[in-house]
Amino acid sequence: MKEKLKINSLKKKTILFILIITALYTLVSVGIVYQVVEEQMMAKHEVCRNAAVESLSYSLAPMLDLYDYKQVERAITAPLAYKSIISVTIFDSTGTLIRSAAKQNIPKDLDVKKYNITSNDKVIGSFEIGFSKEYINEQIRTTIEALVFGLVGFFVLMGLAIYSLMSRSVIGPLEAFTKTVKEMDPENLSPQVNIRSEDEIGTLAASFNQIAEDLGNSQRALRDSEEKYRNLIEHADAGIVIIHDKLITYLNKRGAEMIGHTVEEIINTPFTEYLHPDELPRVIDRYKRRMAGEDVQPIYETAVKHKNGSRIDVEFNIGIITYDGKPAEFVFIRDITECKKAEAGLREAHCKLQEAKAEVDKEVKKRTQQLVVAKEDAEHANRMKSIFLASMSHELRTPLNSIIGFTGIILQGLAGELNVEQRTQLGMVYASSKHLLALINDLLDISKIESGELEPDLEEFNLAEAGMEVRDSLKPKAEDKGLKLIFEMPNINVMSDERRFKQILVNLVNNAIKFTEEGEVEVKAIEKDKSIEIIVKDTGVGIKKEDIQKLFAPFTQLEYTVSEERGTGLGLYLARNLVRLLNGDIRVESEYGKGSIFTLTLPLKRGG
Amino acid sequence: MERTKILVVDDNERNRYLVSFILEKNGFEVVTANDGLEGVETAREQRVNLIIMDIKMPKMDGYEATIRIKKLEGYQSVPIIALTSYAMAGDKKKAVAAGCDGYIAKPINPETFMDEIRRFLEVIK
Repeated sequence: MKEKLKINSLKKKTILFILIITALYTLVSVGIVYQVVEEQMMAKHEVCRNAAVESLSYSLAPMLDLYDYKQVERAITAPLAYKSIISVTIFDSTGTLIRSAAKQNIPKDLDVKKYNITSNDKVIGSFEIGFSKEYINEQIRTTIEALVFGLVGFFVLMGLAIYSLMSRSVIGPLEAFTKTVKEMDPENLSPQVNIRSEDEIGTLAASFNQIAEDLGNSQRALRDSEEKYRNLIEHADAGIVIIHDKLITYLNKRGAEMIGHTVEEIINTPFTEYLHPDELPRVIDRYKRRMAGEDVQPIYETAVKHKNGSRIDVEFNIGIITYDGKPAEFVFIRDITECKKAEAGLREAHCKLQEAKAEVDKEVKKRTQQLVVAKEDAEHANRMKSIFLASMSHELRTPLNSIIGFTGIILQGLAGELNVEQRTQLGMVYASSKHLLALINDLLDISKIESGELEPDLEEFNLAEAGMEVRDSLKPKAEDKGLKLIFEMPNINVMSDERRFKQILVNLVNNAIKFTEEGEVEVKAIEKDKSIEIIVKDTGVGIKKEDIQKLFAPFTQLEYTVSEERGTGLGLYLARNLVRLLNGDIRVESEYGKGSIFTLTLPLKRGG
Repeated sequence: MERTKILVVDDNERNRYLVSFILEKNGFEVVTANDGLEGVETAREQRVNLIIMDIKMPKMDGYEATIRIKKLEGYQSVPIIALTSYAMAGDKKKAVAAGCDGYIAKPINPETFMDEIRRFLEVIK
């Protein structure tokens, strides 16, 4: 009803406007016309009345004088022809009614006026005339009616003309526009208004179409996006819930499944129903504080209640969104039961690991201590060994020194002459004593090298001089066997351990002499860029190929060494160890039956 | 002419005898001491021309004895010869550091022993 009364369409407005204009114009016109017509009519009435009064006064006097009442009758009927004169009554001078005439219908506004009839200044009678303005009013009414009809007719026609014009160019298109727009699918806007005119309506339609198209596009985009996110949320592995005013207003499938309900069961029920009782106060407190605008930790672990009553550990991740103009919680719920289990497992494993580690640490500590003790023991034993060896060598050598010394002086004849047999036999004692001493010395050196106690005693010495000393000590031996001993050493100073160098050289040359029956032993030193090479070459038995490998092993004496004097079996082993101590190397080339070449390489640190 | 007097300091009786025997056979006057302390006393009491000093001895070793003797009046230029063991690395250096003028490695070689003694005596002359 209300809707109908409202004047909201352009069409109605137009009609109303035309009506108002017509009404106003008619009213004004009627007013004006009424006044004019009334004036005119009143004037006309006045004239009529005056004319009637004058005519009656004038004509009636003689008639009365003559008492010609017939004439009077005719005379008084004549004024009735005027529409405004209703009745005429004649009285004589005494006031007695003589004659009367009137129209059939007497109007209510009858206005009766009395006039005297005089003749020769003498009143001879009177007459009354009844006037009525009804006629005037009727006249006016008729006139106005005609006018109103005319005006209304004119305005109606004009209104219709305007209306039809507007209908065609404005209202029609607008109505079509409106209809199209009303019929448009608001979910799927598209340019559908088909108005192709060049006026404002056309422009409006085009603009509208543009807007509709743009809106439609963005609507579709929005819908696509909305669908995408809806899908995302619907199929998310996390439960997603919107809580508005303590009610769950949205819930995805996963969220419902998590607690064994259906989505429909949960929607519009209070969220508190699904929390685990233990967690209820805490979660509600947080919810209230958050709704009050407090900054509350958005991610926390809690628990919800399954339909079957069991506890499900979850993690809440809460965001605030605006829903219906009010803040609402947007909650991601992640089932962390497995996590918890894994965590517990991990913790247990960690505990076990810690225990195991502690055990291992203890064991390691224990073993380390044992090792420390063992190391100390070993070091102690090693020190003891060194001390033992040092004193042993002294103790062993002291008597040997006496034996060698006394044998030597007896052989020298300081204590008197010896016969040949005594000399030979004592010579054997002397040689054996020296052999024993060499053995002791070699053993001592080896044990020192092996325990790492032997350090090279580096000093500068002359190579040629050292060579001479070696040659002098071995010359008698070579000469005894009829061998030629050749030494070729450059006259240069070198930096090395002189005593060890001589020891090595004596060793090698001694060996060469020992295994050579005839020919020569040649010792030659060659200065190289950063080293010096000492070559000991003999023309002895040589060494079989297969024996070269074991040549430097301790206590190796080759079977084919035909010699009256056997070595200690430690010579080459010791020599190689000593060479290495001096950062050098020793190698051998040999041809069985033809001789051997021992090459000793030592770093050359040339003295000044 | 007074004979050259040599002091032999050695704790080993046989060694003392051996060295003394060789020296006496070669015409030197020999005095002996049984250890370092006795050696220092002997050197203080009698003037000697050369000292043969064993290193490893009880009571006082050869190094200490050498240091002390070298401090005695008139002994700065008297040669002290250390008798060193062959295998004792560093003996020689220690001996020189203590003030020894030379060393002879044990066991002594009777054939070369006297040559070496004479060489030291030559130096002081």
